[in-house]
Amino acid sequence: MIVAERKTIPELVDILEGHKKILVLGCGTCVTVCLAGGEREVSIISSALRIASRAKNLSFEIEELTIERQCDNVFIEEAAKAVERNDVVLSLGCGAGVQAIAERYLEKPVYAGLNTAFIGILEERGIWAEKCAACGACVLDQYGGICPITRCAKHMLNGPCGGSREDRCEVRPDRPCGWQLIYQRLKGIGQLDRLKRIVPPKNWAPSLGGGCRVIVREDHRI
Amino acid sequence: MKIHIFYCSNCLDTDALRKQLEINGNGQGDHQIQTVSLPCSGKVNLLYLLKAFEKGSDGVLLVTCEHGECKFLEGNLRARKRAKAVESMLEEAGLGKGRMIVVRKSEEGIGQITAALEQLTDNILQDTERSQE
Amino acid sequence: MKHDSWLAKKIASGDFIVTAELLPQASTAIPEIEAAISFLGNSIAAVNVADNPHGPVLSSLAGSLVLVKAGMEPVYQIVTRDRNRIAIQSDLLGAGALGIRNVLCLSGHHQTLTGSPESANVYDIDSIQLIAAVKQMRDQGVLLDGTEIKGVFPVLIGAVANPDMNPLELNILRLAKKVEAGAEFIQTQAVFDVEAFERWIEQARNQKITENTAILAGVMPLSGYQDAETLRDHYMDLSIPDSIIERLKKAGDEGAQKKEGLNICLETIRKIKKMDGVKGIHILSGGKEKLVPEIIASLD
Repeated sequence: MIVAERKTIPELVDILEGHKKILVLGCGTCVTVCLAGGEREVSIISSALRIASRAKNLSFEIEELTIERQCDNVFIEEAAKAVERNDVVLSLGCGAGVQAIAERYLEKPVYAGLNTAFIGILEERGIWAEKCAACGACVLDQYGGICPITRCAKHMLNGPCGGSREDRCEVRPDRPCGWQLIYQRLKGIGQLDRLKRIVPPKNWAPSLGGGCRVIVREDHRI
Repeated sequence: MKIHIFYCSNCLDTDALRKQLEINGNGQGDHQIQTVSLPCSGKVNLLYLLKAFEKGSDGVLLVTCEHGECKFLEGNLRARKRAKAVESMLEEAGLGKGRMIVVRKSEEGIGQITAALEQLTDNILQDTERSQE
Repeated sequence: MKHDSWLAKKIASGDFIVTAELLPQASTAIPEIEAAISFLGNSIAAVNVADNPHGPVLSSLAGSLVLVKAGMEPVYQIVTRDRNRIAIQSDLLGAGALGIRNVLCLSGHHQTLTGSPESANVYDIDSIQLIAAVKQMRDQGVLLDGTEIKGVFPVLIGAVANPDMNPLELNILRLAKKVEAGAEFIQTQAVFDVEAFERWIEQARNQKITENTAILAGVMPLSGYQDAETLRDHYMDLSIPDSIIERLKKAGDEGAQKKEGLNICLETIRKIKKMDGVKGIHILSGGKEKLVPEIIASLD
């Protein structure tokens, strides 16, 4: 899923200052699961904004709404009336959601209330971790299902750096070294030989380095 | 002052609490106090607590069981962490520190609550003065 | 001869090699580098110029050029942290044109461990890919995209290794890959745990890696126990045993600790020198180039 976390209340106040009628718009998909922008977080952030509005005399009038999915036009339509009766939208969707709302409602300022962080999973209660960098050319088959691009801070494709420790990464001592995990995994599944191959430089063109990415499926077009 | 007391009903008796605080059924006394009984302090979430402040509360007291005595094992631990999250959110929203107090109810009895309440009202007073400076 | 490097000739001669590291400063003053060079003296085979190890300083390429002009042999260090393959190859061509004949390929300290933690992360290619790229430029005369290079690029290729990185199997696997990719010499991270280094060099020997590359063991004079603790805590690629820190502590005041640090360094060199498969040492003075002559003088 896409994992995000809320911006701080001062940041949001900064963004919203000068506006009056504000729609705080949640999304029922990824950001609900990662507890950043679902119905409950819409209420929490709205409540905190109301408290801030009173503390700073900002006269915010906040309406709360959560739709099933902000990145899908079918669901975006459900927000039409609420968007219309407010001056601005504070979207608690991921970056894709915010932009989808902005594209649909051209006349309204649409602001991001979250920082979209990464594609990841819930590792344990309260801990989300990145697993995929969406590089556009998956290499997981060669590394025992552990991504060296995401899990190694240097995106090393040929083995660990000198700062690798068996139990942690030099860059993030609270995290394991991705390369130690790859090594253990490949050893465990009898594929250590894969590591002996010199992997050539990666083609980053399918990643963000190649500009905004689009996938066209003619079989799905009219 | 408007105060909310959220308390775990397993460690605090409603009647005893009201008697101690010398408040009547409407919560009127020295301060305007509203008591909210919970089946476990772990029932509170950020929204419960924030809503109290949003609706005009000046401070919130959250009463939990002692460590290791939660009927639901870890409800009291979670309550404490949530209160902490609310406190930092209040600070972000422009309210000062000390408006959210967690009391771990011990054998000492109900006097603890009165003491915590005094602390809370002191904090609120100080914070109000600070914000008016 | 595919390369035209003095260091390569020294290695081929079988002499015990001594190289040392020069840490450029955040400075535009060439005399500063020249002063550091003067401390290093002429008894060393080559001087490494670090590539922004802790944040921006005078570039490794410019520093290497100053060395060339001073009549010394530079090892031009390139980290893959800051430049993509376009910039790296461009700088390599420049180095070739300016008479720089040794290149050390490394990934570099991650930017978050430097003074500029907000920097964007580049890491377009990794250190092994860099080794292979330099080799391709030299031996095939083409860039990564196949463009033909005009003129020769006769460089000696080096890489780094950390003997303390565990597990040993993974460590050696990676070392073997570096040598296979084209590393003709290996400069190691500073050795403090001599026994661990011995196990490492033994494995490298067993796998015949030492026959195909010149291993130069890193040595570093510690200036005191606090310096040692800071280094140990800040850089996980540096493994400083507690026994060494204790020894420094027991030495006494600042001056005594400094002396003890130098003693430890010299002891390490004496032990390492005897090991089969070690072709020399690489002195990592951490910017204290003044200490280098003293170390060299004690090398009988």
